[in-house]
Amino acid sequence: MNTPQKVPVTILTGFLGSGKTTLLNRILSEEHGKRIAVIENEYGEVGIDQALVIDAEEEIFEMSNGCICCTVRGDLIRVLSNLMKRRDKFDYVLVETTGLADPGPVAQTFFMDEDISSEYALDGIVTLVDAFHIDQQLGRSDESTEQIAFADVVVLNKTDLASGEGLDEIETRIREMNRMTKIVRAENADVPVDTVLNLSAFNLDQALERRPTFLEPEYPFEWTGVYLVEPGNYKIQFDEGPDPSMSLVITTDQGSDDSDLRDNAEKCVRYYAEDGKSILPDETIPMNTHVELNLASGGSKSFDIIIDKPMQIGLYAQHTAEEFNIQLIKSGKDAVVSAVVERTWVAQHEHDDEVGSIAIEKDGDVDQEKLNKWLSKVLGEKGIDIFRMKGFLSISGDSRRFVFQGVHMLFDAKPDRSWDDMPRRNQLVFIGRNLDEDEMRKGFEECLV
Amino acid sequence: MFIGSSKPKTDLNKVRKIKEALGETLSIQNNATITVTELTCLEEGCPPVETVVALLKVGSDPLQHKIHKPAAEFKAADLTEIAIRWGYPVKPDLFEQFDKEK
Repeated sequence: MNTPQKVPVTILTGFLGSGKTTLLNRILSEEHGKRIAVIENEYGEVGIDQALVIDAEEEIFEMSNGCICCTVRGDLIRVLSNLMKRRDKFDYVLVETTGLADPGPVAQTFFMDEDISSEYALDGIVTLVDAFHIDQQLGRSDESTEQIAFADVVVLNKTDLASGEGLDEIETRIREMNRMTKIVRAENADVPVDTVLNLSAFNLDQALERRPTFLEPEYPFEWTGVYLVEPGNYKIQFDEGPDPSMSLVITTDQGSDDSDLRDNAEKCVRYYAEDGKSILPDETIPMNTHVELNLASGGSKSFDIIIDKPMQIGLYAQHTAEEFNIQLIKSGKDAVVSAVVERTWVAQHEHDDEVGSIAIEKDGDVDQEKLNKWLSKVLGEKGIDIFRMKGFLSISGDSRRFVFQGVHMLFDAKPDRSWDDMPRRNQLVFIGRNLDEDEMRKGFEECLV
Repeated sequence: MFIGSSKPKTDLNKVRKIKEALGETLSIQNNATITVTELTCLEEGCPPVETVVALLKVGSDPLQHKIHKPAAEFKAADLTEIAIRWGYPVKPDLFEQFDKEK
């Protein structure tokens, strides 16, 4: 989304003691070869090493490593305007926010004022997290939660003070709040400077390369296998596994394309919402019904399926086939039927924090007017609680894919590239607090043509 | 700011002229900042683009006023309206020079 001539901007945030000052000091003193203009907040504790200052004018310090440092007193917009007078001296801007601040208003600065938005482009938000204290901080303040929710990159710092298992738990908790963020571990904020620059955070294609399922919604099932079957009897066989029971829906006339799988996934979400019918080993599983298979007995066990016509069936299962060594076998012939296609899904799990992510994915085109009205309504009513949003949109009548990203009530959308042969797929992610997923999903679906 | 290609490109030269005219004529100090932001308006009866001009002063709440037209179409009368909304005493021809400049 950044045009070549705009200066990319990173916002650096993090709770008190997370290591921001350490990182900024490194940026202003080390020979990393980058020309960065650092804007520190008015309470900044970055101690400028006078031995490294080669010039100082209007409170803008030029450092011997090619970086610039200045302090915000008053408005960030004024500082940014002043910096543009020295445009030839830097290639990046890094803005430090205070440890207690919601980074939203700082991020929004780059969407406001036509001069600023023509010169600078928000590249991303980096949040430093103190791995040792984050648990307490998340329970105690909204600001630390919001700083994680806003982040495109979370630097999990001071990892030397926390255990490996503890760090894994922290990462899981961070991901539950913000499914899009990249997490980088560090001790003493010793991340490469490139970690906080050129994030291309709003380049969703790169984000998809990193985490292909991050834009997917969460489902109550983890795996689907599609099988070609003939009329007759089959058995689904299970070895012992991690659960004494497993939920399952078997769909009929199942297609093999990814869009077919996702269409039936949506149907299965509704089936799963109903109570599962309990099925014992050697009993018959009904089709297109949520069942709860009893797997409590030891050893292998199987369940019957009766097929009345040639077709493909889909098994939408709570666990992966691997966990139970699930096999479909033609009765009588004892022949194992191989899956035509298999797919895993992002599984739902408990959210302890109020902050979370909603992902909406729908093929098809949206009506531009309906979409704008819906966005206007959502942002007007819930803008305060929506911290970030990003996505791709397919607009009816437009051959180009639109990429959009926003912070609270302000957002920006631009055509990205032509759809060409790519499936015209809308993918939206909202990160926020107390968002009603069903309502958001329904509201978006009403915008489809 | 909304989806679609209907918003025309902002006239940045005009944006800068608006800021200069307001700053110089009203003797706005260096420690204050003027912002000009074009927004798409979806309310019924509104023109498609409106411009919000704000004055940010250290230690005070921001003052802002909305003009229902793109920045490129601003006239002296619009700047007069903004100055009045910001609480400055103005004479009707205060920004006369703005319409004369290209």
